[in-house]
Amino acid sequence: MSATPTSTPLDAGTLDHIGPPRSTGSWGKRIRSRLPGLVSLVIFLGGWQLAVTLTDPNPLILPSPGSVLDAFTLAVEDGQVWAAMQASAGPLAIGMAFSLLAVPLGLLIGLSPTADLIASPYLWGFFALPNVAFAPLLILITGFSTTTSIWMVFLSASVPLCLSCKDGVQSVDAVLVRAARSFGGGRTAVFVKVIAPCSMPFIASGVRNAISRGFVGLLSVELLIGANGIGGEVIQSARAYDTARMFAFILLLIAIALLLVSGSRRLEVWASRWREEVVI
Amino acid sequence: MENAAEPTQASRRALAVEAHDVTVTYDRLREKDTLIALRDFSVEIEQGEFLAIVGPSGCGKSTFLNVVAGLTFPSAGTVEVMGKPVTGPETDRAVVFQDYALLPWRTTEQNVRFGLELQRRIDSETQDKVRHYIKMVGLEGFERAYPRELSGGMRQRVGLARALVTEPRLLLMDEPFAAVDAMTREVMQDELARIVAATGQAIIFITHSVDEAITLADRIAVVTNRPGRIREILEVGIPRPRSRASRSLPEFTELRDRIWSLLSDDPTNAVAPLVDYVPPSEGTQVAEPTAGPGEPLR
Repeated sequence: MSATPTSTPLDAGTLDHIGPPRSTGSWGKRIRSRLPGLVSLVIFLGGWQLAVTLTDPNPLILPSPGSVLDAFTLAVEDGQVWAAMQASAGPLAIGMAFSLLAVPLGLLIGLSPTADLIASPYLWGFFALPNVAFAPLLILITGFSTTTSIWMVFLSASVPLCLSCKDGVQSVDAVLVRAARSFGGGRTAVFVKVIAPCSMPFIASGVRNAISRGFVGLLSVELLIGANGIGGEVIQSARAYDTARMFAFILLLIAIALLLVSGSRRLEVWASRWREEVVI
Repeated sequence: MENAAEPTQASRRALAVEAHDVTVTYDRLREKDTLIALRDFSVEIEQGEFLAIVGPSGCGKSTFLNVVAGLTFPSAGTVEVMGKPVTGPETDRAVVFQDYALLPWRTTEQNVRFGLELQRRIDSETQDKVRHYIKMVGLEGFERAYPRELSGGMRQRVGLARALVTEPRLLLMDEPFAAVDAMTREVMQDELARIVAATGQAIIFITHSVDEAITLADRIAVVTNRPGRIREILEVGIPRPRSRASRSLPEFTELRDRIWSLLSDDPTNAVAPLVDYVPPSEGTQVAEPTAGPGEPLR
């Protein structure tokens, strides 16, 4: 047959444009696509300022955006923001690094129905438990130290990561495994060539979840024990009735959380780029 | 490269497939019983022969293919491929799956390589071989396309190339064109006939389309339902190449009627009329089946 398939979604002539249209990345376009978000941010800040101007509340309860900005600039100039970020980043990074051990563990659990039956009740039980609930117990065991934060990050992040790796393996299309076996693929080959790549989107979304859960876990410890990190600064400002400074650190938390989420979203999109249903 | 691996002196005499009284049963956990998928299934396939297995859904024809592929093991009976008992998948066999079973993260080229990788047969000639078979199935220019960018028919071409590139002596095709649209199906049948004429391996082709079986096969095994057993094996005497015009030949319609009467005479009566069944006109009388049920003929 001379290349005339009866239904052809693409012509041979358009072959260099296979795949989703690449973003050509002109600045004007990028700003325009972010415009709704920017407008809503401006409206939010304007509404906040308006509410403060109109009702003139006690600054202890609702400070103005201006005074929050002042408190933030002051904290930046003091080096307190930088110090707090460093103090939080350490336990977060170490805890997250350890929780990556959950990836191979989750994959192995997914491979064995027996291991799944044994491990799943504990994993799901721990997953359902809010981490503030076991924080006091953890503090009791490890004391008021950085170790507590690291453990907390590890425990909060590794469990959802383990669960989604397990789900990834269990959702692998059985037909693909059969195809690999029909060509004589052994257990290792099937795992490396089919199961692991097929689970990649699940691993990536597990990492995304783990980052946010780990961050929340870290904050719950910092807020509870008033450690040096950003959460600690929030609670110390509240104790000193410095509401503007507290707001400044809360907004910093939100900004960091958004950065982490959007960064890990990129990872997820990259890992699942071969799936049709992913919207980039 | 046009021919499948040259048979050795010893295996030249061996049949491609020799199945004797194969029985496959499954223990069903929920129903707490045993399902007999295949019973006393016996068939012999010559080297280079094209055998189609026709039967209703769930009659166990795919189970037989899995047994020959080495993916399922029979509870009784023996299966030999190229004179050797089947103990698992081997490099002398390759399977083409109904739902393509392509790896969605691999391009056409990488998917075609897949079987060779698993068989640890990657060498300096691999690239040329892959190119050759991609060209043979008519996918030149689509080497770098992902499966999601290809139509159903093109995906099955990739599946076919992936099987052919391992140069098997026996090609196992499990309803390969069942998932593609009717027009593409016709084209794919012509393509397959052309390709196997060039490569010359033995083929077991599972289908539930009677016309497809007659168009492609040298012999047709008619299988009836639960437990799956061969009612009859029929020779297709229609000269090749068979085209759309061959379908109106008297031999063709006669054979079609014969197969249909075998299928609809199924003792378990589980056959629903399939879409491509055209009832015989008033003049032609449906031949009554002469063989008793369950009589394996060869």
